[in-house]
Amino acid sequence: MRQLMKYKLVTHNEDATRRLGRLLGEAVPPGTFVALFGEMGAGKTHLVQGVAAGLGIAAAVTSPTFTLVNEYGGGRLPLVHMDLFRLASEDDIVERGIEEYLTVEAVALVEWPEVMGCYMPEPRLEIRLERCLDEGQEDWRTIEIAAIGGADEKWLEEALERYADIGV
Amino acid sequence: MRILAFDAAGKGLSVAVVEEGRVLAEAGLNVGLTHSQRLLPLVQSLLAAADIAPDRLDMVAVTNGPGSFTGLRIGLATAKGLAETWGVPLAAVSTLAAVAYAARGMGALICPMLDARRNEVYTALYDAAGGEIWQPQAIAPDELADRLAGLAADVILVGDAAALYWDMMQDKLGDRVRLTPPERRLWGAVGCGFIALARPDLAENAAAAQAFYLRLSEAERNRLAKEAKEKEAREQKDGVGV
Repeated sequence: MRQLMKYKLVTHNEDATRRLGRLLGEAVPPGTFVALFGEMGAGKTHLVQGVAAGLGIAAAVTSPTFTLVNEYGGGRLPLVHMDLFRLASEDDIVERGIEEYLTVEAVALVEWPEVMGCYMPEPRLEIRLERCLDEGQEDWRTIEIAAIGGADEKWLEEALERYADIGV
Repeated sequence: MRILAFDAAGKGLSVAVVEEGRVLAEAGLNVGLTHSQRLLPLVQSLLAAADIAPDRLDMVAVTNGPGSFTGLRIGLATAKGLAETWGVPLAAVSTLAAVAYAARGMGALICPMLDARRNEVYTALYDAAGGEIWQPQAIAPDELADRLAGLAADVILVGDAAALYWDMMQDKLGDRVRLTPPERRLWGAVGCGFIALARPDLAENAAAAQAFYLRLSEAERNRLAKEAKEKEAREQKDGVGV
């Protein structure tokens, strides 16, 4: 049976999104696959920058939209950051060798992962970011995190508790 | 006859050197589908560790499917390149037969299960000596379980998807089904090498070897559907003309 536990939180600025990413990056176990859902401007890149910082990666994290995949070493674990926006089909996933970046060690954060279809690994985390606007045109983000297919959640719960403790 | 064999078709990656009745060297990895980066270094280090010079090899053998599209292409391209360079024949061996080899001689029918995605497994059935009973096919795991249940014989499961469906298999087959231990479940290189030894008819010119995908890629399926539609449209048009 598939377990599905959902966590929902809110961030009010980029720094808060980065801070959440950093706490996730500090605790994320080896080989974790994270599917990142959200429109342009939802804060996916900020979250990834935070995860990289949390892993202890010094390099600047830039968008992989044109390169498809950016790999970062030098941290506690290797980080693989993908953006599959330009891929059209599951065949593309195979042709581009996307699966070959998913190792037992690397933490993979994948933007626009929908195209992976049946190649989306399990267990995995799914993170959905949504940009919201209130009446005063102030924007904020809702962030939903779900552990799919029996993904380990203890570290996740602990990281989210730390985030709650630090406050928004 | 000394054979360098490897299996890059599934989750595991393995390389072996075998000769008549003997495994000279074997190495296996199970660290993700990174075969493109790891296969050649693994071949090189295994040959170096075993002190076997490439000119002491008489054949290259590789699993040619079914399996992951990427893995099969990596395995075959590498095997073709090596066989061509070394001037030796190439044997393409069924991935299912190679993986099943590890469970030979245990008094049970052998059923390899390889992850085919889309809730299917690549499978076949072999007798306890490795003789083929069912041809390779891609079917849903519960359909496979039903078919095995109808056989009234002991079955042992191997392959990278065997553990995935172990609970369901036990539910349907009870104590007639067994599971190979993990170290014998996913590395097909030794089996591939021994099958190539026993089957000289498999050896061919490196350029002739082909992947046996068993299932069409998404692009091929789309093309066939499109062609069928066009053909239908043409026939309708012709029909109106008559």
